[in-house]
Amino acid sequence: MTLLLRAIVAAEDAHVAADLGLRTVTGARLAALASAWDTTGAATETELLDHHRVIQAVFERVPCLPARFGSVFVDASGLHARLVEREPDLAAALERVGHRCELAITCAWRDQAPIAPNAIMPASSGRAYLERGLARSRTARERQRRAEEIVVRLLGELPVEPAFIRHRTCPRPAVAVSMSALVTRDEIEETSSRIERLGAQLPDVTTVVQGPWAPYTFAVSE
Amino acid sequence: MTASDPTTTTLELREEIARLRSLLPERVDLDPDNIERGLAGLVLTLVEFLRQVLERQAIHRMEGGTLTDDEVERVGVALMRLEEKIGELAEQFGLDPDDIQLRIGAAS
Repeated sequence: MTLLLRAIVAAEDAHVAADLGLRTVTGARLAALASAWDTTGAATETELLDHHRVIQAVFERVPCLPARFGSVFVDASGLHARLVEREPDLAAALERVGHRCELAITCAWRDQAPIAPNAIMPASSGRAYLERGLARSRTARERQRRAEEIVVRLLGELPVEPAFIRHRTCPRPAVAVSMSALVTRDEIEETSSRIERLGAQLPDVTTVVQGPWAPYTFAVSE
Repeated sequence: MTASDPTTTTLELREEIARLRSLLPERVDLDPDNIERGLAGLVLTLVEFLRQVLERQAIHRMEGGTLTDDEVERVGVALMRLEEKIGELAEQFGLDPDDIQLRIGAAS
């Protein structure tokens, strides 16, 4: 039977599988929680959301490493072999991040207009085309500089060591900063409040904190 | 960039090539029913990436004053036409130009 891996938990926590209708493949120290999987057809949005829902249900009960959607194994033997092969790395990762929660912080630009609006010209000529590119380049550099300033402010508010923070500046035109932070369950409320207070002080971005989620960004990849 | 600054130019080009390498998949997955579209997507992504590299170089030289007015106009027209052609080809193969930009952006 084909299996879709959902999450990795400590072997002693494998009992949650029964509560959630999941199958268990157990190693020496870890257990892989999986679902029977029909491999025909492309994945749907419903299936992706369901994967997130299952992982969150596991994570709310026990520490876990979420599996990337699409980690499919031909059968339980195949999953077991992979689990045994990677058990040392996975056990270390579970100990390091499994009990922590991920908060996703997004700072979106309030003003989508370019910083130098008078530099944007229709491309009526070759020169106009390049000058439009120059204006875009200057806007991008200014936004990159500002995004890096925002990152510094955010890092100052997060009570988290650097190893538990990942961020990208200007990952998309509408977004200044995309950050993921791993916090303990005790730190969730205070951290969210601090970020939201900081967000109110940043006039050029809208700051949103989402989560807590399972440690997707920080788990070891399959 | 000026004509007397080859070191900076070389460094910038090396950085661009490093980015280009990250665009290339470790293996090419070709769907037998869609080989043309898959290859077209790969080729157009590479061409668009190179176009962007050339555009940045041209803008850099225009800012630095090392292009004549005539050169600015000719290079600008050439890049503009290339951008339009890439868009036309993407449409012909049923490719979303935004997806091409996303692939390049993901490599940044």
